[in-house]
Amino acid sequence: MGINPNSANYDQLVKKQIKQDRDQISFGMGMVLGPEEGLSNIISKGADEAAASANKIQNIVTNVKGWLGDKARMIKNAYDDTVIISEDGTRRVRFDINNPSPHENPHGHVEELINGKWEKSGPLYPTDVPNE
Amino acid sequence: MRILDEDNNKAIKRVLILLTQEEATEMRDDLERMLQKNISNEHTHINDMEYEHEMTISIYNDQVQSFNERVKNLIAKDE
Repeated sequence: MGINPNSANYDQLVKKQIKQDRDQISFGMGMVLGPEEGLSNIISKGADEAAASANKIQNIVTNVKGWLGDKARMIKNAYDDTVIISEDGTRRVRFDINNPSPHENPHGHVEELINGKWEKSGPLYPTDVPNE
Repeated sequence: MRILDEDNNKAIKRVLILLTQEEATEMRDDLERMLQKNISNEHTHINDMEYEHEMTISIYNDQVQSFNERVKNLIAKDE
């Protein structure tokens, strides 16, 4: 359900929705990047485990697609890491897995242009991965 | 100040940076966020539209344990 632009507290509701969206994506990114459910580990798992992981990842992809829109474009950077950008360029999700520099561990970024200003999450780590 | 040429994994002393208005605005917003919230030893990326060029920026202090070994060495020895 969308937010009524005529609501007295419209700005607050939008900010709340943005936070919820980001939290949801951050949670999803945690599962993608986590050592137990990470994409690279799926390759070495059995069929049942791989299927379960694939389902989780499908949910994450759905969440990310919902936030970025169906017409989002995907870019691979110089390190073959994935960046997904909304059609209008105002929302971006980035997964720094192959090259997490200047840190050690894989992480992600969620970024949004709001009223002409970039709001960025900073590096997001899975809950079971050290923030370094 | 420390500058790492990431293409060549080499510490350098001088760099010329040319930014569009949009890129400069994004860098300003990122620096403001980190300064206002007193965020150190984190990082942010500034890219061009096609992600061919990238700057990674961090405000650092002496608590460098969150960085990888390459960056720790860069900070400690500037090499």
